[in-house]
Amino acid sequence: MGLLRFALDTMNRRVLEWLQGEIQSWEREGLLSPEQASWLRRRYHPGECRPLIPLLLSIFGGLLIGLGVVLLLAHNWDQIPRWGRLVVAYLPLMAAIVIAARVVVGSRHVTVAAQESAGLFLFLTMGATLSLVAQSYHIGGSFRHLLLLWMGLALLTIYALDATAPALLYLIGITVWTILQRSEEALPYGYWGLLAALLPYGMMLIRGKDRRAVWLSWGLGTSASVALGFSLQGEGPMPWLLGYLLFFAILMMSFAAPATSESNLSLSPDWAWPLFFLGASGLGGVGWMLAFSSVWEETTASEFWDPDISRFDRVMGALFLFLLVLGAAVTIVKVWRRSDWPIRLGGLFSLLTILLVELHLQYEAPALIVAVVNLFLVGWSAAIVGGAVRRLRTGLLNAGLLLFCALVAARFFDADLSYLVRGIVFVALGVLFLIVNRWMARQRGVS
Amino acid sequence: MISSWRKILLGLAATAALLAPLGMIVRYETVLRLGTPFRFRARFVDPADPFRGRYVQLHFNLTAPLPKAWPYGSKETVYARLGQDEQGFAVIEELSYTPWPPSIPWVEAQLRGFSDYSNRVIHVQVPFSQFYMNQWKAPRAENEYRQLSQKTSYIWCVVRVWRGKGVIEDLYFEERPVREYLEDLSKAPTADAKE
Repeated sequence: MGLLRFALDTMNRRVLEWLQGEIQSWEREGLLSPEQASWLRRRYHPGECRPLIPLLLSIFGGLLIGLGVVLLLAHNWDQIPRWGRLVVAYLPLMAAIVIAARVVVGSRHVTVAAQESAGLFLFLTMGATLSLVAQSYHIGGSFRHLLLLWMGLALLTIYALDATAPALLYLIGITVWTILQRSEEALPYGYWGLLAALLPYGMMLIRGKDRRAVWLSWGLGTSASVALGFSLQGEGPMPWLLGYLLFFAILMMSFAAPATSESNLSLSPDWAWPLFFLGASGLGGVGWMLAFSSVWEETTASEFWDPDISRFDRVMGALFLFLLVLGAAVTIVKVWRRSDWPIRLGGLFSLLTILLVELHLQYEAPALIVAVVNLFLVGWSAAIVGGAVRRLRTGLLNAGLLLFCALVAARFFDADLSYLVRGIVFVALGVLFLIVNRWMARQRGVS
Repeated sequence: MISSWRKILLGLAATAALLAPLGMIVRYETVLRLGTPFRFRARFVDPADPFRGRYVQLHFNLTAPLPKAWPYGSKETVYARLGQDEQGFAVIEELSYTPWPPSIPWVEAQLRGFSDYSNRVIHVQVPFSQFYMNQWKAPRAENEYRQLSQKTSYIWCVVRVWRGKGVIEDLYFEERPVREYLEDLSKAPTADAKE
């Protein structure tokens, strides 16, 4: 991925250099006014395109050194007396602080690579020092307490050094902490506060049009998706499925590109794409699971929440679902005018499911509800395919077809049909895939 | 402007990073210096922690009689008053919902379920349960423990207890600190050499 990006960067740089020459000749020929030429020169300056490899190597270097220090200290040098070991524990931390200070205070022209590697080194040495002190005093307690203290200390480092690699490690750290909290029957909701503390940094990257915002978007989306599952606890699968359905719908609607006549997904900013992708694929996946009758049969009013969880957990679970429903409703109203039908239907599906769950809890009619879900999802996949054909988007077309085929395949495994019928239908679906893709490729060639 | 607030943030991050371990050192050094020593009989296994290295996980098998009208709740935090049995090993004399006065040796602990069918005796878990050792010595200690535990139950650790906190001072095998014991063992001639 890094190499691919590097190749693209190098290519972009060449194209931009060529474009600079072209702008000059267009200005000479009178095709562009001096103001327009100057504006285009600034916008497409090759200096804006930073190579990625030095940045990745610096991050890798900082990571290796930091992890090396952690392992050296974890060896437990029991020949050295306790006080000696405590002094040793502080040495890498102080070195990391000095390096970080040189980056922040020292030079005017600090590279992103220097910020990232200094930030990573400081982040890891903070953990190493805490670990060695804990080791020296045989401080038991669980790993999660140490992790929480470490992440709390590391948060300031991210902002001070404007470093995204430590921010990604921070996201991993708080996600692991949430999982450990739940596994040890402690409350995991502090995760959302820890996540919120990182959001201003993400906003800074977006405002500065920094491409590291894309990395952070992947990290934020993935981390929140994992942590959400540990914030909800149900007896059956329904509380999780509902929570995820609404969460993914909000992500998809919020970060989709606006639908204009010539709109396509590449019009949305780079950083929004990971969140849109996670939302759309997650919504399709959870929707597909809801199309199985077994999910609804396992859901009853008396067993919606896990009977063994505390009253606080139950209240928090209900609060999460309420906030997600509210969030989905507000988002759909907000984006309705600027969205196209695939996005609108995705949002509506999440809200429709809430109504279906309520109906099911009242009347327990899983067969009817599964039929409605399947029909809606078929309609949604048709809308996606239709939108893709209109805009000649192959990726979108395949996403719609994939959802449709997954639904058909699931129903065929549900039903007790002969292998012959299943085989014919699967072959037909495969042929449909190939034909539509071929047709799309021709249309794109023509256009 | 941006640069100046980043400098302030780095100053805060550096101060916090230096003070947090220092706070831990002061707290646990105080317990080691001012705490009352108790000997806890121990059983153990040898796991590893990704950051803190290898340790032996100690199990103390501490139980306590449940006071009357105790509301049932697993993993509830309690305050255990410590005493000694006839052999000088630590036992829990009484449990309380509230901390004991500083003059009485006590530790903060967690309830871990009933130890018999009468629901009158409960298992108690104390927070000092990990003894960190050198990467190579921890597995050897576990091997030795397996052999020793069949012959004698006198494997114990000394824990300093002060105002609810406990810090392990050392782990003992046959009345010798485990490090010394293992060093002596590696110096001793093997059975093959004797023959």
